[in-house]
Amino acid sequence: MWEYGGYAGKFLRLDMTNKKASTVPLTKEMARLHLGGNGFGAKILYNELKPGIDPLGPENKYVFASGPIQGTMVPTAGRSGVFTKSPLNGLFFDAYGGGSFGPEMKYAGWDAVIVEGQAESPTYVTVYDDKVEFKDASHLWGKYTFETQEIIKKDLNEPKAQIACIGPAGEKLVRFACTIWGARAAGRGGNGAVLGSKKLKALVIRGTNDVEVPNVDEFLKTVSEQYAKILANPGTGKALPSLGTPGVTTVQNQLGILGTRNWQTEVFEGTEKISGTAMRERLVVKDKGCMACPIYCTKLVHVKSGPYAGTIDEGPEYETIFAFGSNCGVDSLEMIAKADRLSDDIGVDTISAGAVISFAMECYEKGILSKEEVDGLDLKFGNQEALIQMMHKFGTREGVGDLLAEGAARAAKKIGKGSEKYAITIKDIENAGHSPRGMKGYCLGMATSTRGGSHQDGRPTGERVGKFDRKILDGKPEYAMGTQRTTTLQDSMCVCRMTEGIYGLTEVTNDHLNMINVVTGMNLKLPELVDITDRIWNVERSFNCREGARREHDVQAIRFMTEPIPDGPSKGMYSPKDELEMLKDKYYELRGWDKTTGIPTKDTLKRLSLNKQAEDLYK
Amino acid sequence: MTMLLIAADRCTGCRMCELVCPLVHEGVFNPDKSRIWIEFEGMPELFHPNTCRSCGKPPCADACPTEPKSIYRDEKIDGGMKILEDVCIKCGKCIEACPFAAIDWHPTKKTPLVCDVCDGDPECVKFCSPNALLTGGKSTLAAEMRKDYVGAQIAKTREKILK
Repeated sequence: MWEYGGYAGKFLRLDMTNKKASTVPLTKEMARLHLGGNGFGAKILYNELKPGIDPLGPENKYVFASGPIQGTMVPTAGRSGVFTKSPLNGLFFDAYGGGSFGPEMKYAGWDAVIVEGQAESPTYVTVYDDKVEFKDASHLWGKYTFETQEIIKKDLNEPKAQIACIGPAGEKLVRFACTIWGARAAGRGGNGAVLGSKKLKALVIRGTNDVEVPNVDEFLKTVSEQYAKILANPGTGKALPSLGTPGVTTVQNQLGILGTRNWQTEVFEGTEKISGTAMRERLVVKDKGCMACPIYCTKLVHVKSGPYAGTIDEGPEYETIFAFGSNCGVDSLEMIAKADRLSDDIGVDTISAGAVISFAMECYEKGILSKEEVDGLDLKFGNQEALIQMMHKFGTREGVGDLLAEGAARAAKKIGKGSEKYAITIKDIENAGHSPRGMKGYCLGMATSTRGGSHQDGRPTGERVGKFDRKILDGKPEYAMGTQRTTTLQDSMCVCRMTEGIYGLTEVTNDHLNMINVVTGMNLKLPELVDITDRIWNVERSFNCREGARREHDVQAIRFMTEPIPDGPSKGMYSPKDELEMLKDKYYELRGWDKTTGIPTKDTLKRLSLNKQAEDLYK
Repeated sequence: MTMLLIAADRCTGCRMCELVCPLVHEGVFNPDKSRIWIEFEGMPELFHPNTCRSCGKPPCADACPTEPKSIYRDEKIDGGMKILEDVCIKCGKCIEACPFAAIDWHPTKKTPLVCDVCDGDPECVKFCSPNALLTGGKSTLAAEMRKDYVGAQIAKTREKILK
């Protein structure tokens, strides 16, 4: 065992320019102050990236990182994260995926892999424990992600290898390209384009080392309790195993917060056709779980008839059903499964891909984009065939695909003609499938979060399940900060978001603490753990402030601040700017951020031992 | 009678069994040291769990050339295989003989890696949330498999009647 349990104790650095690998030791201080995953990613990128660099240039870096629990049997330990400066908005961005990649990285003896520089030609890297090789990937360039993984496994005769790779979209620098391992995606923020810019087609990992915890009996006791809680919980023990995340589709529609036709409304008449129940009845052939996960929310689907017959897909998840379904006006699960499979194969984020298409559909219907400008497609809401053709264009950047591959915010700037208000983005990240208009706490949480249009920092769960009143403003700054603390902690451990209701939705709890302590033996105290989450959050915030982000960037999409939901159960709800500004005042106060600028105050940074950040931001 | 039984169709491929097995046997996490594992193939991956079947007449023991046999069925608990690590000559005959490819090679000890059903109380069963792993005799497995099969048949009949 390293100094603490769970960790491997070192990072691997891959210099793509010189094709050289080196080892960076993990320090006890780094583990105690930044924990892992999200914490490591933020700390490494803050320290190693110069402000103002091009996300797609050689100076950007890309970090794969796991937390202390990866490699152990803590429920949902299959997860791990990737971290980079996003090509969509030039800010810090973290994305996570399940499967077995993170644990395998740990068995190979690495807590993180830092990818830097740029190779001259397509390359893939194999890591077999501490043996690292840079290999020619010209035969893989252009290949879909599933085929890429199959070829590599066969070539290397390593069926147990875990492979993170990019598809044609990453190679073509599509700004919402993602990283795929297995059929899981670290989806958001355009990280796939960063790997594409480095010409790293795939990172292949196989590990044979032990991962240890300080006391097996204590560990098993805590994990058994956690495991029993997960099985007894109606969400994680019943709803998610049977329907997966698609079960949420119906709930969202019943509350009138299901983004529909590019968020023109939030009720969808075709919901029953794309519900979790419909998917289970018609398409699901197998339940699947990520490594160490008792919840098995993944549903393997097989389309047996119609124009998309033969499609086999892991998923779609709720977000994908929203993105290609209700938000594009499509009520066919079969087409959604096809678009999901294509997203994985081509290597694009399903949320942003769907959002970019729905943006184009609204522009087309409003006459801002002509039929010629969209390559002759009749890009109306609900046109399934046009949607699938658009997906293919993301892999090739042909025709209008080239414009839209830049993401909705950039595309809107190029198009002009008032199209900006149809780009439903927050900090230039396309909005995920949850309603800032219909949930006040979530609205504030995402507006103030590092990731903007992601649903992974501000969280909708507490308000959606009715634990908090979604329509009132009272207590929402606290709600926003509380959920951000838990998400930061989950992402640093790294456990899956599906366990948020088990560990605690809005505060750092003893459950988090005990789990971290039995894995690591760090013997942290609760206030220390709260400080860790705040430290990580403030490192991210400092990264963004160093890039020029300020209070005025903590806003919602134009539509959400100006247009009330027109009909349905949440009719009339929206997030007027002055209301948001009022909530921000209180939120900044809680965070210890300057109310005028939105920058963390010097005192806050110093309290969290972020002296470098204090120096950089207060020169 | 305690065997480790697999209702393979229920497996979700979560590998929890691969994690807890080496933990309780050797105090570490390392799927390469697990006595039960999931085989994955294709994209998207399909999968199948595999472990020792606790054969009543184990071909692995028949094939073992040592005297006494260094791999033998644990008759006390009527299930699982035991290894005499000091006697074992590490020839791999048992691996060859297993008709289910359910014996692996311990990566560091270089002895056969085979399920011993944790002396009658298999830990992996306790962490198998889809209940793909069960304990009991082979009649238990038969009853479980019937439950899945008959359950599906009854559901089909019900559908027909309700139509």
